[in-house]
Amino acid sequence: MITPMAIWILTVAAVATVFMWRLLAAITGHHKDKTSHPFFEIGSERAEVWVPGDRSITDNGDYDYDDFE
Amino acid sequence: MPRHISFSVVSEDGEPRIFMTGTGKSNISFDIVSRLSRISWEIADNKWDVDRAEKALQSVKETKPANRWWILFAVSCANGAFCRLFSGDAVAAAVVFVATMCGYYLKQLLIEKKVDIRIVFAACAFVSSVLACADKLFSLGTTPDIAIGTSVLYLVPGIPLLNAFSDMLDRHYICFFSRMTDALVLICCLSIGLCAGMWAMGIGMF
Repeated sequence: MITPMAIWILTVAAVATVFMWRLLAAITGHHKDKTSHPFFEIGSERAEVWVPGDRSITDNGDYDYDDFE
Repeated sequence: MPRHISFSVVSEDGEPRIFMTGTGKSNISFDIVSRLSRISWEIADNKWDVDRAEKALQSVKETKPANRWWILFAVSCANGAFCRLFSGDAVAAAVVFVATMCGYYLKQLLIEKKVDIRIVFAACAFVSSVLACADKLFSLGTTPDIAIGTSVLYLVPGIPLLNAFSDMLDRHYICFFSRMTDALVLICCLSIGLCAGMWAMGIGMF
C-alpha cells in the first residue's frame, strides 16, 4: 500500500538522484549534450502548420517591418 | 503576452511615424526591470537625449544573468522568511527553506531543459508541497499547515500580475487580459501541483 511516508521518501529520493546526477555530470563535464532534444515543448507556428512546399514564413509581407525603420 | 510592439510618434514637422518590432523572450530579471525603470524615469524627468538613453539601454541589455546558485539560496531564504511572516515557527521556516531549495532547483533544471513552463510549475509545486509535508509527517514543528501553504509561494507569478493590474489601470485592456490570463494559467498549474501534493500526502484541503 502506498502511504504518505512512501511518497515522501520517493520524492526525496528522486530529487536527491537528480541533484547527484547533475553534480556528477558537472564534475565529469558531460552535462552539455548538444544533441539533446526537449522531451516536452510547445511547437512554433511553423512547426505546427507548415507542410513541405509551403513558402517560408520569412516571405510573409505582414512581418516585413524594414520599411518602417 | 504581446508578441509585437507598435510605437507611434509625431516628428517636429508634424509627420507621424510608426515603428513595429517583435518582442524577444527572456527570463524575468529584477535587476534589469529596476534599471529599465530608472532609465525611463531619467528620460521623463531629466530629459535624457536619444543617444544617452540608447547607451544606457545597451548597458542594460549586456547585463549578465545573476549566479544561479545565489538566486537559489536567496529565493529559499525569502520563502523561509515568508513562512515566518505568516506565523510559522522556526522549524516550519527551515522546512520551507529546504522545500523551496529543492523545488526551485528543479525549476531551474526543467527550464534549462526547455520543458513547458506549465508543467514546470505543476511539478515544482508538487515537489515543494510534498517535501514541506515533512513538518507534519515527522511532527517536527507546531505549524505544519503554514509550512505546506507557504512552500509554493515562490512560484506565484508576481510581476505578470502587477503588470496586468498596471495595464488595467492605464486602460490597456488587451494587454491586461493577455498578462492576467498568462498569470492565471500559471497559478492554476501551481494549484494543481499543490493539491496533488496534499492529496498524495493525505492532507485535507478544507
